[in-house]
Amino acid sequence: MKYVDASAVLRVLFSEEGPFVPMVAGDLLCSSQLIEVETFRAVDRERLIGNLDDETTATKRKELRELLAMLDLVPIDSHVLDRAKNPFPVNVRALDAIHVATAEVIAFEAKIATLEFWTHDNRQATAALCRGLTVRGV
Amino acid sequence: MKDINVSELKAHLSRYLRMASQGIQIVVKDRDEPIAQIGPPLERAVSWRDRMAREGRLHMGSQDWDKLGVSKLDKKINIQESLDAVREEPHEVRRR
Repeated sequence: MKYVDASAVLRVLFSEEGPFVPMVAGDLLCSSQLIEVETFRAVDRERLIGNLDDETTATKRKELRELLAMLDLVPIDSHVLDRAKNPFPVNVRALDAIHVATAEVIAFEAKIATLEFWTHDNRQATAALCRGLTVRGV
Repeated sequence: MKDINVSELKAHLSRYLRMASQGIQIVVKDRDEPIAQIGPPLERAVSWRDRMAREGRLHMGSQDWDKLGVSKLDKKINIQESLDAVREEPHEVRRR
């Protein structure tokens, strides 16, 4: 079981160089439903600043929909919010806290001692690390 | 739930056993006819994923990673910049 944040999905979608999360048959990948908003906003942002033309944007939106449909997605419910509200030893952005809390909920429910948390965002990685998650991708 | 044929099962047995152990039900077909089903042991048949999905706490994805298709881009996109912009202040978009 691997948890992926928006940066991990966007690296695959935009074929960015660097280590990326293995997505092979038999793997279980999961995330927060938050990722749907973050990734579609990022595609829109790239269109707005001229990095994606209309045709490429349409293609990328379709590919993103298909990719997200493959992930297990956890809603931002009270279980997640309760954990996200708990203190972190470092300053953490609210959305980063939601990703970390969601990963913790999955690890707890699945009884997984070492859930891999995939991110390429340094601040997100710090937030996950300081709560004891096994971070990959940075 | 995943449907496969016998030859696919023979070729990738360990992969499908791993999927079954994680709670995914594998239906084995012979000439499009279901002939067997592989899943976790009975006591674990209701997996944590099934339970969370039933409770409305998880939307189960297809996990069909062998069907993943992503086209190449001509242009390089800086993911960190992109995410910073949508997670914080979208300065350059606001200026437009």
